Amino acid sequence: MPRTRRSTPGAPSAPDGPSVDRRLIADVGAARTALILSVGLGVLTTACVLAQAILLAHLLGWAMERRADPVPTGLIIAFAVALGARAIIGGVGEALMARSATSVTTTLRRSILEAAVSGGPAWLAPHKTGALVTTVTRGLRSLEPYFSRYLPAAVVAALAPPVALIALLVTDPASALIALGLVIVVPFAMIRLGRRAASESDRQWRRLASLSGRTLELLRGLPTLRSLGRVDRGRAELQAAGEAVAESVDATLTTALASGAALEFIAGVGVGLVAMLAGLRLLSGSMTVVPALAVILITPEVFLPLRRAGAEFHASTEGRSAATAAYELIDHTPPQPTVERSEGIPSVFPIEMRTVSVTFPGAGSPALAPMDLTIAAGDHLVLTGASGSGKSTLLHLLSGFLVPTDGTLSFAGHDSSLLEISERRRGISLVPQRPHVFAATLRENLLLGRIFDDDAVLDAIEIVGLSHFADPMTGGLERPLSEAGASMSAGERQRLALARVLLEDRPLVLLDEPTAHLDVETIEGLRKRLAPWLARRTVIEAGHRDGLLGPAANLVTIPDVAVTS
Amino acid sequence: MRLIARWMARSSPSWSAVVGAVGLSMLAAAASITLLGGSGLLVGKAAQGGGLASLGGLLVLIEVVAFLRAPLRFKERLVAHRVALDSMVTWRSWLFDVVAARVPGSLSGLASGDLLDRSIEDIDALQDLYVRLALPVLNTVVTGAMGIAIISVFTPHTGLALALGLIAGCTVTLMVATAAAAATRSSEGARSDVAVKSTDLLLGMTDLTMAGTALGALDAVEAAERVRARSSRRLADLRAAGTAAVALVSGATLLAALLIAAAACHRGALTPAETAGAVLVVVASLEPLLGLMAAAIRAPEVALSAQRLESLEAAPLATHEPSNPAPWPDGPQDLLIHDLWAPATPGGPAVIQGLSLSIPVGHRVAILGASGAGKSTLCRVLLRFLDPTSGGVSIGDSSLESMAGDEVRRHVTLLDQHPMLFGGSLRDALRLGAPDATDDELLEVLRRCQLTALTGVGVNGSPLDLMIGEDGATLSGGQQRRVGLARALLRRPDVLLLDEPTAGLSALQGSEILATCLDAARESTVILVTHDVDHAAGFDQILWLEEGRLTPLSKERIAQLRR
Repeated sequence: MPRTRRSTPGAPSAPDGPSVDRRLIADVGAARTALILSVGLGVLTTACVLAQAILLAHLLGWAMERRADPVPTGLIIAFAVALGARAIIGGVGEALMARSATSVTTTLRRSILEAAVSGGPAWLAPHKTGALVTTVTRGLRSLEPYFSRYLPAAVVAALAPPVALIALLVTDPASALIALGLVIVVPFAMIRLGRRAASESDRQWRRLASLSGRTLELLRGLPTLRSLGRVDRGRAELQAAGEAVAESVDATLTTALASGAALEFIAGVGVGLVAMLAGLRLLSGSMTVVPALAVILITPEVFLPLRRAGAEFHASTEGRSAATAAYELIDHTPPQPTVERSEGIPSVFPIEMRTVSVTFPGAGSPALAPMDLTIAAGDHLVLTGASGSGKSTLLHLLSGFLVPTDGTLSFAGHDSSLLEISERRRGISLVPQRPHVFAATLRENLLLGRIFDDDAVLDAIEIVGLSHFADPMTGGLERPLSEAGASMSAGERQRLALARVLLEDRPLVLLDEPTAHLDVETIEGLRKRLAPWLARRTVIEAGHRDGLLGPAANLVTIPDVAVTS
Repeated sequence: MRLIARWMARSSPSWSAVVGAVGLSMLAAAASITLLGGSGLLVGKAAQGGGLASLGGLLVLIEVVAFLRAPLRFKERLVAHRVALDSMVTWRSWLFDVVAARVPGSLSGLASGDLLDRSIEDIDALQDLYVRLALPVLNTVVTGAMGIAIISVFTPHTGLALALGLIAGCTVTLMVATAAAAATRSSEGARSDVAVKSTDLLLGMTDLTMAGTALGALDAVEAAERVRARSSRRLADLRAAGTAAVALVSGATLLAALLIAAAACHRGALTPAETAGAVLVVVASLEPLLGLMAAAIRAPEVALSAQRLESLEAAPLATHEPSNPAPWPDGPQDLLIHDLWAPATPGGPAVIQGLSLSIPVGHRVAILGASGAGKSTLCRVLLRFLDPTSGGVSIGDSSLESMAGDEVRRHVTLLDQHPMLFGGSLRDALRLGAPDATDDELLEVLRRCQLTALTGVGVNGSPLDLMIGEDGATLSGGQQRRVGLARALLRRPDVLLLDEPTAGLSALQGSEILATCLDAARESTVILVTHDVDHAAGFDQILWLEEGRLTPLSKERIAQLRR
């Protein structure tokens, strides 16, 4: 089963070679545009840079004349045009590449979220939510520099050196030979050093990332450290860990920076040799001033683009691992069940389960052991069983988030695999075990994008006993519930979810341990206020008989799966 | 700008490193200038037909410099990275101290939330302060100044042109940096909006799917994406304009310098060799401007991180340490809470409203209450993590507020529902509470907490050597709680606070743990805070917390609650 690989900017996982790049280019239109753009812009930039160097050599040649020649207006204009063009192309290129980068991340994020929406909670289940969220937010963000910085630099690194070499060859074959000789050295130096630098810098990043992890752990544990009077020890540990990493990174840093330095070194040697040779040939009269200056100005352009691409190397690894993580998510789309009828069924009842069991892929024992159950309209059932026996699994089965591994599940005589899931859900409400609180207002949190009037909303809040949340003093229904509901207790979240369900008018209500975090008083109050509403519905509550349904409900005990762990 | 200076001051880099970086930067700049300028000079002189002898020195110089330049730049970068790494250590400690003074209590949302994650990221972002911000500025200034100085010796007008060009380049850079600051902020805002909405969509998938509105939520993400795309486009355009402007300024400066030098040469004020040298020195001096622009674009992001970190410091402190702290009184003492008023977080509305309670030494008190009744707030006040707004807690005749927080917590110990165990061995986890405890004492407390089942599983045969994994991950929930209890007991607390110590455990496990607590902490005053009446069995007093006050629970009421 595909697993999300944790992809944080700090810890690039080993990229899967060029395949991800190729796939990005093939799949994402904006990525293709970006590649074509960078090639086009790379060609233009290279042309401008070389033109500028040659024109500058000519201008210098004129400037060095003793006698006052007429000002070479044509040359000056050409030079001005070349540098203007280079500036404009550079600017336009940067703007366009940044746009492409934004489009690519937008496209990938949309693909992931669409996969998530079409797959629903069943798609989410095998992923670690934290890692998933990281990939969608921070992970994709690290893909942007890949397009805005690395790709253009890489393209220019591939284009400019050969063109510059040709320009050298035309101007002065001897200099071209020197540059060529040194450029040939580059890959050897880079392969040895670059590979080492890549792995070293990767290791360095991982070390820094682990330090960040340690810092986070210590910060999280600060309340504990303070209770135990050990804040000083925490600080000392943080400091020691930081210094240890700084020490060890110091060594690897040398290698990491060395690859860039090696290129600069080769470039420096190249310019030095070319200049020396030009000087000697000028002395002997076998060369004139303008070509001599031109080769001195062109030679650095053979090496500089390589150096720049090397500097953006990190953007490439981070971007690639982000894209890899994104594709792992996109590829993991569960097969959609075949659907026979898309129009609604008048009622979901009776619901019949015949030897239905659920086993997650790769799991040794079933999440739900084979069981038979018939649910008729108006039933009130309490599901009990040891934790892990499959109460939530059964509710998810009924909600259509899971399909039976074995056995048959039917609604009103229709096999579940032949029913449109969203159609079936229209008759089912669910209070999940861990409802989510959205970073939105209280009203938005209750409506979830649906339309109900304020009176209905206020009624629902009152029934679940959260009226104090809608106190006009704190903003009423407009009150923002803080990010991820940090300020709400587990019990309050569940009551919020109950209010959401109250607003819906659906015949089957599934409650997943709705009172697990509530005290007896609150449960009693809730039961009393909910009784009329529940009486009119078919309700299945996972938990125990002291919950919302009360002692009158029928008990269904889930057979034990004989969990080994 | 001031912000960045403040953070640099906060990291207090060693003077030798700063001097080293500046020195290396100067040497590297000199090498760059010599390489290009010298080459021009060489070509010029050779063209004039000077003898090989007159060029020999120049040739050697160019070759030496060609070999030296890269190692110098390399060393310079190394020093900057080193300073950055050292600074990170200091900044992390700073963050640790800021948070340490404020959790729990003042930054209570922070302890568990993403805010902490982001703070760590922000600290990491500050790494760029030296490597990607300070270094380019240093390079531009040093190379520019050196170039201007050298050229001005031969042709002051050309030097002036270079100076003006560099000033123009820096001005443009500064303008871009200023404009980018606002754009970065709005782009960051839009970006985090997308992040929040995507996170909501993923985490709330079950709720949305059942409501049938997951597609609507997807549209909301798309709408946020469009806003983000627009704001990142604005930022990108700004960057693009900056890059283009710097290229134009550099080009114009070069052209102006060339024309001025040409005029001087034609007048005879400059030799052709000097002309070529001067113009190429201008080329070398203008090179760092592009790096400066990259820094200007990065600067607002780093500044934003720095600002966010500083905003943590702005959160009020939850307690104020007395200037003349009193000691915890000797001997067994009763605990008195008198007309206590306290908010959940400093400055908030009072959650505890006029609560009074007297607990004779050694008594066991259970405080029951609904979620949100203020149980955790009461615990914080008792641990001196939170100052009351009025009234207070006293031990014998000394009020808690007259004592230092650490002194109070030497005598009052908490076991909550998630005792943070950190990693390492069981011994490390236990010693966290009592660094001087001997192995015998540790084994004794393990026995009292019924953790002897772990015996013999460590590498050396001692249970104390058992590696318990990240935050006790290899232990079961019940075992984690027991280790937390053992750690608390090792401190021989006068008051043992139990804050929902059984949450998340099965009923059986929960009652076992509580029985162990009561049995093992026989010498301490015990205060249990819980929402579950079943746990109150065996306590001397059972109280109900509601509307910020305590009322005794009658037997009938308890029976009714227990039902």
